[in-house]
Amino acid sequence: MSTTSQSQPAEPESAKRKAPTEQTSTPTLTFTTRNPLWTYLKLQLTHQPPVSQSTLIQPLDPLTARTYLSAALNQFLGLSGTAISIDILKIDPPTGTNAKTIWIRVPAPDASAVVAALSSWVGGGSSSGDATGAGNVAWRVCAKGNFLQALVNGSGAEMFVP
Amino acid sequence: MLEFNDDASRREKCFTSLGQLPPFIDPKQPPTRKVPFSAILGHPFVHTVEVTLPKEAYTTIQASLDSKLQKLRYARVFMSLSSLLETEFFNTYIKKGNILMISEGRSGSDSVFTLRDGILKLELSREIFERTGLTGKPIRSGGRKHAKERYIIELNLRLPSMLHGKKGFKRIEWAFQNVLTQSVAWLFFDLSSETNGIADDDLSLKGNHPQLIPCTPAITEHPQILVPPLDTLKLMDPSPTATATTTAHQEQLQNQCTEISEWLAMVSLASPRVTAADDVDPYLSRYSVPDADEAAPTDLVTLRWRGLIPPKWIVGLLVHLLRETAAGGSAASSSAWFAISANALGREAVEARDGYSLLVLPAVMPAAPSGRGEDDAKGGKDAIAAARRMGRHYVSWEFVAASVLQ
Repeated sequence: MSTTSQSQPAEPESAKRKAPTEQTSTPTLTFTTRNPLWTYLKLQLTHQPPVSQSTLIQPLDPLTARTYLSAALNQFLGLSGTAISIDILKIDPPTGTNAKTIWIRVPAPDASAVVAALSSWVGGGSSSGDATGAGNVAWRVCAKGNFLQALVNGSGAEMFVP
Repeated sequence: MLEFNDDASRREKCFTSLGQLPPFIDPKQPPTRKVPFSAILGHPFVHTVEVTLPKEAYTTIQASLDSKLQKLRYARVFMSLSSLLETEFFNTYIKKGNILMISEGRSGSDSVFTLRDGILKLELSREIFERTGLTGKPIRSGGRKHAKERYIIELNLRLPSMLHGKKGFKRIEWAFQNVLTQSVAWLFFDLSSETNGIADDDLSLKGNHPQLIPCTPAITEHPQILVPPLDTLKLMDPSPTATATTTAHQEQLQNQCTEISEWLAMVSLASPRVTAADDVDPYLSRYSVPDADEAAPTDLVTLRWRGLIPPKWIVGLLVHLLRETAAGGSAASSSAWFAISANALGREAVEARDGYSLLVLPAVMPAAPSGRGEDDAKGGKDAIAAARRMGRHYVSWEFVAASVLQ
């Protein structure tokens, strides 16, 4: 055993010795992030029937969205709920598969409270004036995560549907 | 603040690494164990790949991307498990060939099947698992309440014993003909090197009537995006005197990495918040680009491939982009950074790997040559050679256990 190990090392040794001179790179730094500041939510505004076509195609504007979000938080948590900071990151155009979808971020410790508040809320669309066309609205939570990059492209499940 | 338990959030993690890529990467034999490459190879099924880079860099490499990058196509096919074992398909694609297949369904509640390197994995609920009569093992449930125990069966179909007529194989056939009989939607990709996902001489996949789907990038332009300074993400040489400041520096670096990751995601989301022209009211959003006062408005381009994409192709894409944006290359400039991000398909129910993203910083150009004469030109060449000997800095993020629903 020992003789073979002594006769062999010529090549691997020189290869080893070469490496440090070639390597001018700094060592890799790795770390794990567990508790980031924000939690990201993808929400969809759904209309409860009866609803007129004009309400469905009406684009969602940020102020209306913010009002709906505040109303939901107020109903569930009262004043302390409305104090939760919400940042609206993006509102998708009203057409297509992602109709009336918005992306928001909330402070991570409040995220579960926000999800609970939004999913239990049904808002009256009639408060905006006409009681004929606008039915009730509700929020659907489509995605939730602490890292936006993991969420942006969805789960890919629609690829299986022809 | 509001004492709500958030079990899912506690499981979420992001593994970040900062470092330098090797100065030279052999396109035929890229590294497999080191960080950005291990992240790519650790996600065998990917449904979206996104490349973000400045428009200036994209226009110079566009032609070579179009011509040199392997074209992709994949197939969607309805098959039952027993038709996987039919002689022709089995011999061509599983025994001799190498394919990637993944079935529809959500891990944790549906029966989900994957096939990779000849190993067929079946994730089943307890009732179905017991009916199949095959050996498997329980998968970890993560201690979730009210979740029933689930099992995984791993069948290496390339073993010499896996042949029609052998005893063990007959049991598998029996299970596929009597228990797991339903036809499911699969995504199919042929990994043989000469095909682009589907072999040209077998477009019907041995009579299974697939739907062939070409996978071409969707190009989105993002005009006037505030790009935060990326140089600060470089890992400095650890000097022995600066031990006191390193921990503070590292913490700052960690925060910066999280912010840049968020910013990259905002760009791929096409959020108006990262555009230079955005003036949203703080009542609606208080997001701001990291280091906004130093950020420069730049036109960015995003290329998005959607489909079943094998990791080997993504490594090829990375090597290609690295070569094109290398120092002295056609697209070399101080703005030639790029980011690749990918999202995984078929995530497990517990601690799933969601995807990763990789930001490669511009090649370092020590002492930029001004180009005033032959001396400078020569100096420039030396600088390029020196820059090529240095590896590119990168930041990579791997995301685990996000709760995507749709």
